[in-house]
Amino acid sequence: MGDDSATILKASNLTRRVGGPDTGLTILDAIALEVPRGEAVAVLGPSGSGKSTLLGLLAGLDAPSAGDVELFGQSLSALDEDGRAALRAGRVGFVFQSFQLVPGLSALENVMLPLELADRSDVAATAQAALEQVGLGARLRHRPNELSGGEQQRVALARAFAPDPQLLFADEPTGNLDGRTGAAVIDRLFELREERGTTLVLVTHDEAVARRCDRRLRMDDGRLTEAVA
Amino acid sequence: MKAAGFALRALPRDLRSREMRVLAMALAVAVGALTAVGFFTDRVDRAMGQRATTLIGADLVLESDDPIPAEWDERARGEGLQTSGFVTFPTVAATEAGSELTSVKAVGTDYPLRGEVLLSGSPYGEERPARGIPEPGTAWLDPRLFARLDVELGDRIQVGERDLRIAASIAQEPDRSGSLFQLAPRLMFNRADLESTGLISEASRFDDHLLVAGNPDSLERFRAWIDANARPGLEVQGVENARPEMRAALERARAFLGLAAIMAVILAGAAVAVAAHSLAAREADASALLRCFGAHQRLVVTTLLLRLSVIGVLASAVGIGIGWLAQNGLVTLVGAWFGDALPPPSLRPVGVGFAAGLITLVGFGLVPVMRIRRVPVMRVLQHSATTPEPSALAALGLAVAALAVLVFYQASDPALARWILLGTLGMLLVLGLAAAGLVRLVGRLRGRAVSGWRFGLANLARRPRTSTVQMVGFGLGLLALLLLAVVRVDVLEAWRNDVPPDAPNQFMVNVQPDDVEAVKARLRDAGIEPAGFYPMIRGRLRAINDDEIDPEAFAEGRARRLVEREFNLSWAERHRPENEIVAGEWWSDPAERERPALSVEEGIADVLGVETGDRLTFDVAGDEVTGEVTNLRRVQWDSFKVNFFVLTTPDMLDGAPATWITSYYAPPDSRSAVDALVREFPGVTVLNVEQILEQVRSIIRQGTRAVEYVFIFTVLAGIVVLVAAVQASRDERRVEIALLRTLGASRGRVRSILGAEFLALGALAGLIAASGAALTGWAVTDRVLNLPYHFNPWLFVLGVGGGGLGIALAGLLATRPLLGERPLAVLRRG
Repeated sequence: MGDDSATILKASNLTRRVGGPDTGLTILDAIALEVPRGEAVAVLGPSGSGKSTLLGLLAGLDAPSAGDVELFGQSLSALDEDGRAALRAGRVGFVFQSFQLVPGLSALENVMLPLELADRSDVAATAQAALEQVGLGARLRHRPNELSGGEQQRVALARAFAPDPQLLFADEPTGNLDGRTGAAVIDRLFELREERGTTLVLVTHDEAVARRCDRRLRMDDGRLTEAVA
Repeated sequence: MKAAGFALRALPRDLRSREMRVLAMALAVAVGALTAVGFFTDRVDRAMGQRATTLIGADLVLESDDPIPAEWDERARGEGLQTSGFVTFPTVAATEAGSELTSVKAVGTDYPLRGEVLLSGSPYGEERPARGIPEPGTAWLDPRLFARLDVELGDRIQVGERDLRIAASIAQEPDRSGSLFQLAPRLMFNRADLESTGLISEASRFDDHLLVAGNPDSLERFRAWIDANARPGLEVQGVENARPEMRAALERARAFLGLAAIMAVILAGAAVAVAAHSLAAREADASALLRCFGAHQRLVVTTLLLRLSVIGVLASAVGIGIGWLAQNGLVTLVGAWFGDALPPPSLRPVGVGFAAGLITLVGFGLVPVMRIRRVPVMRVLQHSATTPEPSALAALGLAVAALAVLVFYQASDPALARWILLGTLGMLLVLGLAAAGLVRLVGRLRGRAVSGWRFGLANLARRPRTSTVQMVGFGLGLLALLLLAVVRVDVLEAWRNDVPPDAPNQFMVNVQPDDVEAVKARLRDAGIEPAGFYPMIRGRLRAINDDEIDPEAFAEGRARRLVEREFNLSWAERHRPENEIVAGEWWSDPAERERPALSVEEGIADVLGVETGDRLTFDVAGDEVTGEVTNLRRVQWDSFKVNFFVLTTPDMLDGAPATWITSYYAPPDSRSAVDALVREFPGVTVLNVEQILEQVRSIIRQGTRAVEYVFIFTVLAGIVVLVAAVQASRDERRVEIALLRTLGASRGRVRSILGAEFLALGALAGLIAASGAALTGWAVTDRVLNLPYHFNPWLFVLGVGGGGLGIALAGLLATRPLLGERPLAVLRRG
C-alpha cells in the first residue's frame, strides 16, 4: 500500500470544473501537490478561492473533473466511493469549521464513532482517554448542545486524534470561534500533532495559524502557489 | 453487527426525534385501525360460523330417503359427537272443520342441536324459546294451520291413525330454509309417536335426517368416514351461509369497516412518507460525516433501516395493543348481533398487524428514506451540497404496491379493492396536479397582493415542490376530516334509509286472483298499504337453450337445489326502478312485450351460467313455455319487497294458473285485522318477517356506530398527516424567519407573512379536499354501496373556510417557538 513511503499525499493535475463547457467555472486549475509524511501544510486563501473544494478532493470526499489524487500511495480515481471511504477509515482524521458533531450523541459517543468504524478494540476507553487529553474528561456524557463552541471543537479534536490517524485534514478549525478560544484550540491541535507526528493539511485564512505549519501554500483563482514567508 | 450497535445506540435519540415520533404515531394509527377491524371481524367470522350452524340445527346433517342405519348414529357417538334426528314427510292432517296438507317433522330427543325453536301461545303471538321437543301425544303447529283448520290451543288434530293435542304455535324453526313459500305448513310432533300414526311403511315416501354436532376434529373424522361409506341418495349438508338478507347487511357492514380502516392506512401512509422524507433530510449531515470517517454506504443505509425497523416494530406493537383495546369497544357496540358473547379472536390479527406495519413502513417510507444513499459526502465541508430528491414515480409505485397488498387483503373483494386503489391513485394524482397548478397560479398572482400576502404567497411559489407536497398532505388530512364530518353522515344516512321504518314486515302469498281486490280492500281498512300485488306462477326449469336440465350435471349446492325445485315465476309489464338492469334492456316498447322474453336476477344467472340471448324453457302446469333472456336485473334482497328470480312478458304466462303475492308493513295494532283476513280467506298465507327485519335493522344501526368508531382512527391519521406536513418545513422556516428578523421585520410582520402563507395553503388544500370528498362520497355511495348520492354544498364552505383558518392557526402555533429564537444563533447553525 505504500504506507511507508515518504509521500503520504500526492495530487497531480487536479482540476475541478462546474457547469457546462462554455458557461462553466474552473474552481481548481491543474493543481499539483506533494505532502511528505509528518509535514504540516497550510493552505491559505480568501473566501471562495477553492480551499475547501481542494480539501474535499484531497480527502476523496468528491471526485475531480480531471487529474488524480494518491492517498497513502493508492490512486483515488481507481476507487469507488466505498473504496475511498475504506481507505480513510482510521487513517484520516477531520476537523471542521462547523464542528460537525452528531447532535443526538454524547461527547464520548461522538469520539467513539471513527474508532468503531475502523474496527478498533477498546473503543470506549480510547475515546475517554482522548477526551481527557483535550480537558473534557468531566463532560463525557454531555450532548453537543450542552457544550460551548470551544468545547465542541475540542470534542472534534479528540474525535480526530483518537484513532491515531496518519493524516489530518482541518478546514478553518477556528472559523466559528472567538480569538482566544480559537487560539487555545489551535494550540491543542498542534500539541497533539507533534506528539504523534501526524501529517496535517490545514485550510485557513489566518496567517498566524498558517505560520505554525512547515509549509504554506496559497490558493488564488484556482491555482496553488508556494507562499513567500 | 456494527449496524445493529449503531442502531441500538441511536434508539434513545430516535425515541425523542420529532420525525420518528410522527412516523411511529402514523404507523400505530394504521396498525391500530387494521387490527381493531381485524380482531373484530375475526370474532364476527367465528360467531357467524357458529351462527350458521343454527340454520341447519346442527354442525352436520345427513339426509336420506331411506332410514338412516343405527350404525351411523353409533359411529358418531363413538367419536364423542352429539346426535339427534327427525323424519319429514307430507301428510294430510284433519280436524272437524276440514283437512289440510301439512309437512310433518317428527323430532327426536335433543332436537335441535344448534339454535332453538321459538313458540307462541297463539298464532303470531308473543314468542318464547321452546323447552325440549313436543311431549308425546302433542303437536306444535304452523300458525297458518290454526286458521285453515279452525283450531285453537288444546284442540285435537288427527294425524294418520293418531290423535294429537295442539300444544303450541311454531314461530320459528332454526333449520327451516329461506324458501318459505314452497313449504306446506309445518306440523311437528315427538318421534316416539311416529309409529302409532301408521304413516311410515316400506312403501311410503319420507326423508330421514341424522343431526350431528361436536368438536371440529371429531366432525372431520366422522365426515370422512361417511364420505367413504355413503350410498346413493344420501345428502350431507354442512354449515351453510346465513340468510341472504342478513348476509347482505353484514357484508355491507364489513365493507364499511374495511373502508374506514383502509382510509386510515392511506392517510397514515402519507404521514409516513412525509416523516421519512424529513428524517432523511435530518440524517443527511450525520450520514455524510459517517461516510467521511470511512463508513461504507451499506453500513449507513443498513443502520438507518434497522433504526426504522425497530421503531416500526415498536409502533406496530403499540398499534396492535390499541387495536386490541379498540375492538373491545367495537364488540360492545355490536355485541347484540350475536347475543352477548362473541368468541375470543384468534392470534392471526397480531401477525397481520405486524405485517401491515412493515408493509406500510416499507411501502411509504422506503423510497423517501433511501435518498440517504445519495447524500454528497462533500456536505461536511460545503453545507450547500444538497441531496437529490427521490424519484416521485418510484415512491408512488412502491406506495401503490403496498396499498394494493393491504387493500386486497382487507377487502377480499377484487372489484372493491380495484376501486379503492384506482380511487386513491386518482385522488393523489388530482391532488398533486391541482396543488401544483394552484402553486403556479399563486406565483403569478402574488404581484397584485399587498403587504404580508405578497411575501406569504411568494413563499408558496418560491418552493413549488415543498408547497405542493405540503398542500397534498394538508389536502389529504382535510379530506379525511371532511369525509368524516359530512360525507360519512350522508352515506350512513343513506344506508339507514336502506331499510326504512315502514319496510314490509309481512308477506301475503297464495291470494287467489278473484280475491285480490277484496284482500286489498281489507288491508286498506286495517290501515295497511300493500307494496304492490304480483302474480306468482310455479314452473320447473326444463332446458337452457337446447340442453335439457340434468340436476346431476350441476355442482352440489345452490345450483343443484335451484334446478331441482320449482321456480316462482312472475310476469310484469313495467320495469320497477329499484331493480337495476345490469345487462340487456327491459321490454319497454309494447311491441317487444308480445314475444316471449325473460328477465333474470343476476346472481341466479351467474349460478346457472345464463346470459342474455339464452333461451330458457319452463314446465308450467304441464305446458312448456320458452322465452329469450333479454335482460339481467340486480335485486336488492334486503329491501323486503317482493322480488322474483325470473320475470316474463305478460303474454308468455297468459292463462297459467297464478296466485298473487304482496308485502306490506303491518303496524303492531293491525295484527287482529290480519288474523281476521286470514280466517276470511283461508287459502291465504301470511309470513311474518319482522324478526329478520329487526335483525337486519339492528345490524345496520350498530354497524353505523361501529363504522363511526373506526373512523376515529381515520381522524387521528388525518391529524398526524397535518402534523407531519407542518413539521416538514419547520427547519427551512426556522432559517427564513431568522433572516426576516435580521432584515428588520417585526414579529408581528413575520406572523402576518406566515399567517398569509398558511391561510392560502390551507384554503387551497381545503378546496382540493372538498372536491375530493365530494368525489369519494359519490364513489363510495353510488359505486360501492349501490345507494343514491346527494351532493352537500357544505363540503366546500367547511373545506375552504375551515381548511384556511385551521391550517393558519395550526401553522402559527407550530412556528411560534421559532419566532422566539435568536436570529444569530439560527443563522450560525445554518
